[in-house]
Amino acid sequence: MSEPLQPPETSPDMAEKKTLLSFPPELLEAVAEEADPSDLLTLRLVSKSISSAVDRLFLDEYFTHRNHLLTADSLEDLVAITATPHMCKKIEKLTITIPWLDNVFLKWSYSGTYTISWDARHTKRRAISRSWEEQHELLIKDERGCALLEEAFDNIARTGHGPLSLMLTPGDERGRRVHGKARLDAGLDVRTSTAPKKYFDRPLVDICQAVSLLLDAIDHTGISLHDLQLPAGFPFQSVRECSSRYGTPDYHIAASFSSMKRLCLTQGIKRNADEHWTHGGSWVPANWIPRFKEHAASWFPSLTTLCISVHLPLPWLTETFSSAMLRRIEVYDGDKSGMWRYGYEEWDLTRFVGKYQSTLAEFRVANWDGREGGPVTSALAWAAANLKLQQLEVQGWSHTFEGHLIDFIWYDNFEDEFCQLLEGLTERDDISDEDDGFYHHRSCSTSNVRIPDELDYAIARDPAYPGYKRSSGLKWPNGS
Amino acid sequence: MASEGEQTVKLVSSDNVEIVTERKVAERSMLIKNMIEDLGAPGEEPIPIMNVSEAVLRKVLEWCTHHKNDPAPSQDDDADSRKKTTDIEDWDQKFMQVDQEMLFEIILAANYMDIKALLDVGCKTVANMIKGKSPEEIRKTFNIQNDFTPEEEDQIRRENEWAEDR
Repeated sequence: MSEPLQPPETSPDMAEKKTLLSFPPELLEAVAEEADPSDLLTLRLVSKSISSAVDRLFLDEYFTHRNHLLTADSLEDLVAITATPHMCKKIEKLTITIPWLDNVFLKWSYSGTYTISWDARHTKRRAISRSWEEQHELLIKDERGCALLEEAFDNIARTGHGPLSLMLTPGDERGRRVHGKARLDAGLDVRTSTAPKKYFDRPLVDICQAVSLLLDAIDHTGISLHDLQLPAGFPFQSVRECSSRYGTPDYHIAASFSSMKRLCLTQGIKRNADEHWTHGGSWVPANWIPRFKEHAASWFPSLTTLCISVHLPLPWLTETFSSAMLRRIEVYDGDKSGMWRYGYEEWDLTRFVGKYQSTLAEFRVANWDGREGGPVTSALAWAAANLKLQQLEVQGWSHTFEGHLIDFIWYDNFEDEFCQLLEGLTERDDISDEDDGFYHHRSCSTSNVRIPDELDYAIARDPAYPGYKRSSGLKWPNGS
Repeated sequence: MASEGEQTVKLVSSDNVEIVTERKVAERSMLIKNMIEDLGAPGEEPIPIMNVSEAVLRKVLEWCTHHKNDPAPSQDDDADSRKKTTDIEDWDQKFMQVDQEMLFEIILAANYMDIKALLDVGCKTVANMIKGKSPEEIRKTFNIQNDFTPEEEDQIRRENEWAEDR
């Protein structure tokens, strides 16, 4: 037998008995990569060497996107996390959720008996029990909330952290918490929180105070707010009045909003016959809109993404954001029954989207129910046919939405243009990693094409398609 | 001259046992494949697999024989680093039904010999042994000593709480 060659590398002595701890760290990590995320937590408690080997995966899984509540307990945890440099460095997106404030606010507004007072002290006295107030002392009296936020933001700044997406979002009206990346990406989707119950015991008293705390902390530490979701009828005028109530000067507000890229106004208000905009059957003062409109352009100079509910007053939105350079528009709650009462024309949304046709690259429609057609369906069809979009997403309600988007598009040049557009689109699978069967995300498909009567009607009315022949004689749902 | 499919190679285990196998089978190992390419004359010189004993090498070659016609892994497969642990083929599951020491030896050998698919199956098998167990059960399963101080353990539990509330 000839002399064996030398191997290219050496490795640990194979003579000893092998155990899991014989594995080099990279092999232990390879095992952990195959484990469920929950098993990572268990593995960290097994031994030092295993804990060390799974550390990178643990941080990637649990610390890149943090979601904290504006409560003392949750903020204390945020401070502790950000004070741990290897955890702090991992944070790419920080979402601050304001729990229950909407609940308090909406409960008040849903009562239908009283006009909502934008004076937070008034609302607080009438809507929140004394025991709650006592529980809130931590964050209210000694400004601890702001101190905690500032400490966390300072920790983040000290780690030499890169750009951080900081998001402020309300809780939902049932007091549950927006939770999980996929849910946040879905805009309005919420689920019951897995957070420990202790986090729900000490909410703040009103949204102005919560926003004020956050804006102060942002301004004091120089951290950027990139993303903001606001509850229905968010009282911007009251934010300005925070200076007298909570000590947030106007320039703090402007400075805090100046770097914001994404604004989410997804809960609807609608106009009644008396020119008041309402939500949930309650009044919103008529001066809400002019006040917001007055400040929006200067407050949000960097805005590139706007998420809106189709229930919002679109003509007003068009005016308010006329100078924005929007790259992405997300439209929620589309075309459900009753759309015809919202006080604007079917094509207003299309006009709104069309304002940004030179900059718009992404268009998303969520919670879409196209059965009756309407503004969202029309805007969708128009955008698909006329804009050079890089991304088009349609999210429908699974229990009402049977077809694919392309099912609606088959006619003449409409089909050609749309199919050409589709070739440039990225197919998208179900994006939710926490899919509970409630929502469906559907990809575009070119099979099984069919056009519903409502879109047939919409296209027929579109001057862009003069040669279009209607395939049915049904009337638009409002009888027009 | 024999075609590439009919060629054989001689492998020498760490306990100095020579094993002759098909070149195609042996080349499931990127280590061996690269060595054969470097040698230029496959089958003539024995290739030392110094860190793998005869028993383990035969077991690894058994796996390579079964999978010799599998397509090469794609880039996408590599990118999908967090696959689920349940998708192990039946044959591979049976193949991995060995005692723990042999399982670890196979994984170490697959790592040393650079056989990614076998390494993946091995890691998934161990991950399945971990799934749903408590730390104490994992220690018992793999005979591991808890070397944390109570303070260190408290800190990890606290960090795990933060993680769960993300």
